[in-house]
Amino acid sequence: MPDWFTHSLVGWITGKTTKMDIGLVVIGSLIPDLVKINLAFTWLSIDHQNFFDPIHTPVGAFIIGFIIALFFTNVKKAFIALGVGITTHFVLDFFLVHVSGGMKLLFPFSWEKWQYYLIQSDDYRMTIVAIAVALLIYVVYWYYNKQGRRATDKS
Amino acid sequence: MRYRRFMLGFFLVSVLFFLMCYSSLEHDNKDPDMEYILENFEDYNNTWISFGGKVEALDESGQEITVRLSEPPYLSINVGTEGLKENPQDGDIVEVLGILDGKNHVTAEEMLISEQWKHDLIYVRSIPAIPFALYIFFRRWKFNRKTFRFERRVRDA
Repeated sequence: MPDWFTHSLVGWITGKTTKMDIGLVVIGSLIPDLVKINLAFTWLSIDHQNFFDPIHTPVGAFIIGFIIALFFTNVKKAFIALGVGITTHFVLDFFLVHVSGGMKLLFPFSWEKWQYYLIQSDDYRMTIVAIAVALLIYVVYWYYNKQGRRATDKS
Repeated sequence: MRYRRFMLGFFLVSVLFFLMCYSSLEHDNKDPDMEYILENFEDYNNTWISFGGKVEALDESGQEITVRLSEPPYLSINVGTEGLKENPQDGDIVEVLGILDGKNHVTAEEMLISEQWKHDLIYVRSIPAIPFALYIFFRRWKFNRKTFRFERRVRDA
């Protein structure tokens, strides 16, 4: 996995540029890594027998997204924003390098793992690029908003 | 309407729970972990396996390393590295793909190496994401305990 900060920044960038609800896209971008709850069980020496693995599959993550969306008035809109966030997570994880395996994209219909070996998970340059792009987008939006306010004030 | 949402939520939680049980029950057959592989060594002898762990020791010839598994049963596995381009060092985090050719021995065909500090940095970099995500989310949304829904904050509505 890339780190959570990179995932959340890519979620922020996606939400900002697509004009979706940024908060929901960012939360969605972290949903598949709820699977890390298994670390707590491992730490407590409780054998979880890969019980939580489906959370890091598209079907599991989208189900969790749908459950979260039920707590919003507009379920459809919330689910779409969360779904976009979830998708950014899997797109980023898809490009990670592993010696074998990858993500079970078609679980539960297939246990086959998919991966496009491109970026090593410990590569911090990915985070730097994400921070740079997020800052650039923030500055561009800030500048255009400022210009827009000036134009409104003049008129 | 609220009842309908509750039923839908209950259904989705049930489906997720079912998928988790399925994963747990079928994992050993479809995607066995190291604990299962080592327990059933005869079935997996001379087959390709992959695992991750931390390099604990290097032998003097440089053609054998000892890797402590990062998953149960957390045993040490001897890994033959002859013919590999990679040069793992003591303390490195490695992913190994190779052939299990002994109760406690794997001949590596491929290895991915991550220095310990780089590996730890993944977790350090992850920490800011939690306050970042919570701030971004709760800046726009608040939870209404009466309706049991998230609502947009007034300045955003």
